[in-house]
Amino acid sequence: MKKLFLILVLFLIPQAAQAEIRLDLTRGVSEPMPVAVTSFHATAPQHRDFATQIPQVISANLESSGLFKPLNPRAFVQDVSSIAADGPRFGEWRAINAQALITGSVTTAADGRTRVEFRLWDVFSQKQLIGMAYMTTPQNWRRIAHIISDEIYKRLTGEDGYFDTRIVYVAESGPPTKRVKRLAIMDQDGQNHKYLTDGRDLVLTPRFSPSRQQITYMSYGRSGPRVYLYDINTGRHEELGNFPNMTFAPRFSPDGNNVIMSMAQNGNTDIYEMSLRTRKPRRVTSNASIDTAPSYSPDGRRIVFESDRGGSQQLYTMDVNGSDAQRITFGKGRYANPVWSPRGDLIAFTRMYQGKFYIGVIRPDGSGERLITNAYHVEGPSWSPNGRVLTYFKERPVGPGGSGRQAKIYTIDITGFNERWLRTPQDGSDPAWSPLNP
Amino acid sequence: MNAQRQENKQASPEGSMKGPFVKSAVFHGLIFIIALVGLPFAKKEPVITAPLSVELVDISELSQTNKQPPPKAKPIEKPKEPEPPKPPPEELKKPEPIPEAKEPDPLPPPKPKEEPKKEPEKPKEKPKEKPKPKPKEKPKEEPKQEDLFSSLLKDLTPVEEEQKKQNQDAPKPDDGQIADFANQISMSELDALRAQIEPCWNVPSGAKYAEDLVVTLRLSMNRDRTVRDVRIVNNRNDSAFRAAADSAVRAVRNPRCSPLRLPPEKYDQWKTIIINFDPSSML
Repeated sequence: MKKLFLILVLFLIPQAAQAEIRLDLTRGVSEPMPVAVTSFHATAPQHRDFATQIPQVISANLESSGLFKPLNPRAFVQDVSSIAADGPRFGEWRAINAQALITGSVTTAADGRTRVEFRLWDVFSQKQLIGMAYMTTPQNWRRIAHIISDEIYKRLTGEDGYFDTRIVYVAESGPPTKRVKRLAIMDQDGQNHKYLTDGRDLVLTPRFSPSRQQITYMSYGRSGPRVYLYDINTGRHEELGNFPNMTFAPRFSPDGNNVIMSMAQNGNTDIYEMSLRTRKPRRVTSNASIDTAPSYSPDGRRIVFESDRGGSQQLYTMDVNGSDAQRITFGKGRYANPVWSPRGDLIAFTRMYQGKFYIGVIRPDGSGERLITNAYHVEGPSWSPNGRVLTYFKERPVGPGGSGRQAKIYTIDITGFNERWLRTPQDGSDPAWSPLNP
Repeated sequence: MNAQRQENKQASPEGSMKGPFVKSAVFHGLIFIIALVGLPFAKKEPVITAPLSVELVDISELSQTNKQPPPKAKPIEKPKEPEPPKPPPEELKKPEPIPEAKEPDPLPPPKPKEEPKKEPEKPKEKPKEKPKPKPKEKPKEEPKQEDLFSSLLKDLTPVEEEQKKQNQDAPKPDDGQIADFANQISMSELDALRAQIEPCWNVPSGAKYAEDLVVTLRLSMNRDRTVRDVRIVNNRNDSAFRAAADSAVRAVRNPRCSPLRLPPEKYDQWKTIIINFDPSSML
């Protein structure tokens, strides 16, 4: 028995000697981070407007992401000139619950250009996280604000920003029987709106090139419904390829050199890829069923598409040469419009189930399906270039007897939170996100 | 002689039979005792390291500890977050409808003029320390509740009960150990700490492969239960990890979560705290 007690004692000793504790945290919260965006410091009168407008745009950008909560400037204790002279007094910023602080200045550089400078501070650790300066012309202030927003976003989230981007979409007007649909483009925050087409021809499903200022879309032109290419800089439209039949559902390859689309022939639809250099088409699928809505993976190796080859309309992935097709969705209802995230980790889609439309995301291997929004009619998801936000449109019946349709563009975070209406001058549908501006 | 020899021969088998009997009885007894007493030793470790019993224990913890933090947090936040400014876009439209122009020239980051080293404001924290007695009391009360739960949780309470029994039975030599044992951070104290930090940990939930962004921090603690220093144990050189690590560091630096709810008299036990921020089960 004595030995037993000895053993007991031996067991207890190492425990008593342990002088650090370990804790596993497996739960936390997901809430917007409180940030303080101060006015920028400017002494020259011609800079004062920018010094307030630039931070306002930054603040609106950060707020729209749903990841940040800009604090009301009226709560700020330390004033701008004091920050410029002495640096932030972190205690005061911590007292109003700010976790990050953004300060800056607008000055005239020696060469006469405008110099915009910003700094991002971590309030708790009391240090500067990044600081950058930009030389520009005053007209550029809005872009500068977006670029600064992207820098801040990147430093705080670890992912590229998406504020210096644009969205192309279909602007709709007129009665249901005589709907006018024009291509339009705007900044991601709805500013700088302009129309790209005059509305004579119906346009559908615009898609932005990931690498050039080009848009591909479907239009009902002279030769019927065909896929077109539009160059934003030159304003030139051209029919893409010389297909005998209706072509539709186009999308660019990740390098922007190819467009993949569907062509309908004799009641069957297959997928074709068109090189923008050689203008030669290549047939990708040859299946008796309907294969359509193709979208490349960001590495350009796989394609996700919708097909009814299994009896119902589901999503499949395959190699770019059409081999190794794998079904990735097995849910009830129908799946459509798959889009591979530029980040590569998810595929967004539209799902129709029990008379409702949903936007969902799923991993490329078919696991982890999540439906993140729904509506009477919601469709056409498109990714922000960083793969964090989706834009799509919702339609609802309006007018007498619900004969009309009201279409609005929305954005949502991939967590399924922070759905926002993106204001457009008219009804809007089929939004497509641009890459970061060049 | 022959008869004697025969007797001896007969006797010796009897004697040799007794020995094995005793031995076997002793061994069986030992095995029995080890079965009874020995198993709890093996189970002891979980008491010290972080527990498996999170679910049930936490519910009881949260229901209590939550009562304290939210009142603090809400009053602070509400007054200070009137709605973020939305009007800007429209105002901005007026000045310049100009769209694209030439690219701005990014410049290398300027060197920060000063890195102000204002002292972290302690006055705030000190007043908060006074109410400390509460956290102390709680953990002491809670073990009872835990015992109730622990019958459901195989690893925890049985161990504690077994220990109590042993301690009662055990003779004096163990007294020193008992004293040390009392200084151990208890499960409920760990749970209280966990419940305190959780609301301050903003999980990077939408990040790419966020479930893999597990951050381990080593905190060096001051005696006043504030964090003196934070080190990232598993540092990795990528921006997503850096953002996740920043978020974990902000959790332990957040004034809402300071000072940490720890039993002051056990400072020796918690002067170093290693926290594993693991979002995988939430995603």
